[in-house]
Amino acid sequence: MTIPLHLYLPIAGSSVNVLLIFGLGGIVGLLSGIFGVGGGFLMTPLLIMFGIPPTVAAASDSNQIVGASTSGVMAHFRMGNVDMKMGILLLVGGVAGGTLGVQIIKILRSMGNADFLISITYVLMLGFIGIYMFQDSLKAMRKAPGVAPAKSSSKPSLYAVMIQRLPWQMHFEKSGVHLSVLMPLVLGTFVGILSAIMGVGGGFIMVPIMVYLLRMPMHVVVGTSLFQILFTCVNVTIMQAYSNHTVDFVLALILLLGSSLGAQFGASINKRLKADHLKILLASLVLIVMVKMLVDLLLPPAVRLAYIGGH
Amino acid sequence: MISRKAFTVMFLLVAVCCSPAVAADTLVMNIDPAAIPIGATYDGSTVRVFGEAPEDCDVVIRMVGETHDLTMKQKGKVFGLLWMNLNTLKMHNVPSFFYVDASRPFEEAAPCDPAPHGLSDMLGMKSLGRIIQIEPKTAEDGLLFQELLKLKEHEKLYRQLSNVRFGTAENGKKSFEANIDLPPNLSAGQYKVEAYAVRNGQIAAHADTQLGVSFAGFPKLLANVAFQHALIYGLMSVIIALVAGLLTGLVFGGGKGAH
Repeated sequence: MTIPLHLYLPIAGSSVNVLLIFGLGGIVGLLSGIFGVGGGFLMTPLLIMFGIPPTVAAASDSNQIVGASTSGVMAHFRMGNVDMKMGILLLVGGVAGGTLGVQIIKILRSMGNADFLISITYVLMLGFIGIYMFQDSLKAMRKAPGVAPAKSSSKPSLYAVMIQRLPWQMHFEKSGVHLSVLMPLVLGTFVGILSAIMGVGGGFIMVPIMVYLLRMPMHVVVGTSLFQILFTCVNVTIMQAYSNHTVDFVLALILLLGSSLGAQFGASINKRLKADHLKILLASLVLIVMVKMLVDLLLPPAVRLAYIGGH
Repeated sequence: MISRKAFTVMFLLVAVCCSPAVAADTLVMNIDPAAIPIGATYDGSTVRVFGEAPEDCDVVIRMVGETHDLTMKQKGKVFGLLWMNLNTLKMHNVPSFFYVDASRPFEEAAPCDPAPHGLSDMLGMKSLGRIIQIEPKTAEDGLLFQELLKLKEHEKLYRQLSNVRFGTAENGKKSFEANIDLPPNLSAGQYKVEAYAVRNGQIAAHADTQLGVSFAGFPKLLANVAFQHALIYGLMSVIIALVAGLLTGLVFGGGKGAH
């Protein structure tokens, strides 16, 4: 049996080179395997560069993340790294946020600004994360190896005092934290909106939020984040398919096959690289993608007309 | 598959612009195939157009898609910095697809061409300026029309070529042939294939036929489910991704996965 090199995708409205899409998934999977982050924030801009309409690229990528996070959740669940209580609360927020995000896209699409919003959100998020990681890893590399940073502040921060005053405090055993129920709900909503707009699982926003704002231990963060991402993307996929007809699951499936293969190679490369070198490489990669998208917004477009709505 | 002959369509049309004293010019056109299925492996296709035209005429072949009214956004600068969509425009009667192929370069005028404009204005892409209406009317209409052509050309949906070939002439007639290249992003619908015989800037004879482009096989099934049963399609997409994720997880020994 010969595998056709080209496949017509009726949702994207064009035929694509299967090997190209598979390779794209493979590269993003390789990077996510090396750096230990989800490739969603790279996948969507790459798909757009290869001519997939931005709304279809973002929605199909959510579908791809459903598959990519499934195996991760399974593994972490076996190791007991999933804080179900926290995960479910984040999820409730995420579902609400995702639903809201899809409606926002629908309104913006009818105004013709959805693609612009996706681009600008990307540029801002990629720029913020890229610069933060770059600085963080530079700082770490300058420091003498082995010297742990001194534990600062004996006084509780203003933030700590504020979150302790919130109503409905609850204890989370797996994470070992005491928090208001509102915290995961509100933060989950925020990540849900972003993930619907950007077509990413939100892992690269969720992880810092859990570490710095919810103060959860790192090993539980990874498992819980994956658990939360999985269900958020399930919701976003269904909503996008139902409201906007922008999910191309054939595209998602090819990407998924490529990325899961690439992730295996990435993981073995990961073991041979130093952590700080990894971080700075990833930061550079993120910044390159950001600059490319920023240039697109700043340079006069080749054509000064754009379609409105789906076509 | 139904035989090619059955698909072959023939049209005879008598030119109306010539004086009755002159023998009637005729043009015969055939297309092959007469229908294009977009199946899972569709990646562009070719339609062969061939026929007979008067010996002293140029031949222009066109393929035109269904016309639509488009609502578009004009891109402009915001804060003198970022390019984004601004004014809303309505463009009426915009063909989804426009392919024109002539036996003579469009910008080249015929030696004794009495027509004030070249072939391009008469039948080429420029001729669409008479059909497409832009609303609201502004001084920029001409520019916007050019931008629309640029956008459509960039999408490979509008093309203007000069590749019509002639065979040997016989009894005042000569055979012509052209291949229309259909792009990978062709949409389903009814298309009109036209052939014109042009002499001295006048259409001496013309013929046309319909070409149906429709989804077939897997894309047809998928498009039906995605648009008619959107919720089922969404659930199906998720379940397939979940199963695929579980399977890859098992194949690679329940790998760590990305986060």
